[in-house]
Amino acid sequence: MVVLGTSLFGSSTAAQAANAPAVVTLVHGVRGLVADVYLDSKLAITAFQPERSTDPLELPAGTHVVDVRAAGAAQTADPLLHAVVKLAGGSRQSAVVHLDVDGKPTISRFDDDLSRVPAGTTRVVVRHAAAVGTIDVTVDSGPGAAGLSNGHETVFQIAAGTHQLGVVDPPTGAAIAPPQGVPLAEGSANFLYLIGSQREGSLGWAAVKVSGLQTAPARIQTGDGSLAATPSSSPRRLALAIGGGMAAFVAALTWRRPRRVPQGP
Amino acid sequence: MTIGRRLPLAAAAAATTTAIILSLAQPRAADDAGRSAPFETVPVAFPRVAHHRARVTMPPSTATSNPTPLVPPTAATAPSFEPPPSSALQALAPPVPPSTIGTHSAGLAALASTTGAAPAHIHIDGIDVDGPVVPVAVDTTSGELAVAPDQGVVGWYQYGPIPGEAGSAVLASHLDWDRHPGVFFRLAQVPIGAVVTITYTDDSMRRFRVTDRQLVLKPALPVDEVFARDGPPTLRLVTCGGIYDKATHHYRSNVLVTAEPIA
Repeated sequence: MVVLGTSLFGSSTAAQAANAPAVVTLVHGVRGLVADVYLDSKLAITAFQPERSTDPLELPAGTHVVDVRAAGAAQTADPLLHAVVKLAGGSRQSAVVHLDVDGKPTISRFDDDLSRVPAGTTRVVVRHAAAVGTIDVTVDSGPGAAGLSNGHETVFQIAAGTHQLGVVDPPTGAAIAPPQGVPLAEGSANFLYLIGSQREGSLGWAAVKVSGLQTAPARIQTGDGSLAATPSSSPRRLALAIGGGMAAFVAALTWRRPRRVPQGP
Repeated sequence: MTIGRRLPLAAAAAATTTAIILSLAQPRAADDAGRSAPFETVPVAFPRVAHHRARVTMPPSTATSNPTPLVPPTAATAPSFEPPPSSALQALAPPVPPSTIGTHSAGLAALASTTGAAPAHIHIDGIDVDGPVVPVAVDTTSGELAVAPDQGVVGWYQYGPIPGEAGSAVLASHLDWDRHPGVFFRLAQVPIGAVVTITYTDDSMRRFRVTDRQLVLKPALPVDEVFARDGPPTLRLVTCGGIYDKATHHYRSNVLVTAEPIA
């Protein structure tokens, strides 16, 4: 099989990735459903509460079976949800139990972009997992993403910090979910699931954060050279410059508010 | 090979989540059996569009009223999902242990970062280094640390660790600015062993001892190490040094001082 993989993809790296495990995060976005989750016919999560998620789980690449039953139901009972999932080796994914546009429970699978983000920024991934039609997402009262429908996602990068995230009805611009302050940490990926049902007035957000995607600042520039001893400086000018600088430094120290007195142990 | 094994933190790009996950033992033979079916190990490339539409079926019926039906009613013809051979299914079915995978809240609060008091003041015994500390960010255009244009303050890289917490906390200040010496004007002369005192916004204090002092050409500054977010608590004090390059209007080197917490 490795030979076949190599011939198909032309690189041993691809073959190695195929043999690597897949990593999956499970998210529960159906309010009111407390679930037992079976992985490959094995009880994996007991009493999975809505609006909770697992840590990333490592699973062998290949085909897996997910069954969702009401908490406490017999393993032989018909599952509420049954999914057969083929996971590519080395992939990072999320599987979310949520309502479809008609309000029926379903499972969707998304690939997770966990590449690094530029310094000072954060990644926002909005996933439509609610019983509501197509939506527009607003960010800080401006347009964020347009025409997002159930089971789909939109990805963007934004300066780190708290941003107002809202959901509006595309034709009317009416608020479906009012803007809400969302803290978005630098160097992270923030997976935001719109869950619940518009008809039941239960729309809301579930969220999963993955940190450690930061990039270090490229350089540290600390000085304008105004006191620099450049080769063209004569010793006299240099001495004057340094002397003047030191005088200013001493003056600054003198004028500064009284030095903080160390306290405590 | 195990199923449900918790991802090692490093391999997870240091995914930070808090739930405690226990292990699910999976007989090795099961995995081998699972791989034995033809084509099971062929990598499957998922184009991005397909990801967006990836959906699995819910028996006994699918949501046919969905305006964009994403998968046929039978999983067998879905591009991304397919039923495993029954033999593989049986092989994957292990003895059933109690539930072992923990969960944690996925409320919006899960996105918030827990942070302590920020550094507010720095003082180094023995040399004239003493000044206020303010949080600074990064210039997202240039990617450079956004040191305030003020020689009288020290900038703390607010996205990195707080001094004294795990990882490498960075405090940077100008060597000179507008013909004035900066707070770190004498940093290059700090002796090894000197005591650095950081006062925080809640008036608490921590002390550090200087363990290293280097002059590093800027292109050689190990930024991933200097700005590391994990590892032992380390304090980095940075300013400019070396030759001033009139063409670039920048000093060619950084003074990099490393200090470690005093227990």
